[in-house]
Amino acid sequence: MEKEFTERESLAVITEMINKSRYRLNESAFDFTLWGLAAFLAVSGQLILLQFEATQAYSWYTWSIMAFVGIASGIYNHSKGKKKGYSSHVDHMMGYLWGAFVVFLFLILINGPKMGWNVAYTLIIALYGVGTFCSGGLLKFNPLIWGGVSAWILAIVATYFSYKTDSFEITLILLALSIISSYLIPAYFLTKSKDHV
Amino acid sequence: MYKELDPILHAQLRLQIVSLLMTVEEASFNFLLEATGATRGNLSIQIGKLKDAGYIEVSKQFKDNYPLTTCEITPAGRKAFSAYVEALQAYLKPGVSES
Repeated sequence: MEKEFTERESLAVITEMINKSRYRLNESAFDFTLWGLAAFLAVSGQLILLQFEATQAYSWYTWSIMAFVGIASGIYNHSKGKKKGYSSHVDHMMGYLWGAFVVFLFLILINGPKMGWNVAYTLIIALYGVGTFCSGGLLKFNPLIWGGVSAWILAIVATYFSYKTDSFEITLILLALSIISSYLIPAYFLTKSKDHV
Repeated sequence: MYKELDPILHAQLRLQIVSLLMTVEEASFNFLLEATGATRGNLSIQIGKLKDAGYIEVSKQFKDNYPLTTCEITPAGRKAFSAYVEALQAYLKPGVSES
């Protein structure tokens, strides 16, 4: 049953096995694309609905799309995990990072009415930066790191407007830009990537 | 003198299993089966030997009404693997012929 093999062969076995279970960067592309597109649609929809008096009050309803995306993402990741047959250290760390992201996002959302949505959305832009910057660090993937930095720069710009009246639409535009720069562009490069971590 | 290679790890299928488990948190029996190309019976035997040596932990549970066996490397397994790789490097240093 036990095959005799040389030291050189055993090194080849180790290398081959490690390569089989390494985390492929393009595994993350689906989530970044899905969440990025959904958030972009939600913010664009809100911006459009704000333009009409009849729909202004309901404009934030566009964010309900995120609940459907959450369900779709949950089903996709569950079946992917089952098919993959293993959980990597990267999966584990990403789980903690994005878990913390959701908790912080929830806290911002429940405090939104009190602190004002201009401020809340500014914090959300910064939070997007935290999520993508840390993911980039974990995956050693520069487009995500730079995407995170770009979101923080946009959050600084949004801070300037956040305490001004009648600047909510500008904050929404900055939020849309942060989604493009920190999610959608890095997601495109992730899809193309053939690297492992 | 060269260190002796750990006989538990110096067997192809057991080394395949431990190498895979070194890079993941845990892996299912089916994943190990597919990745190693071993037969179900042989894989079970070698997993048992690694478990007896204290190098891996095996847990059996039910998921979606199907039995699911998962394996995870233990701290002793990690230590043994590191020592094995270290010993292997000594054998493979330039100028040293293959045994």
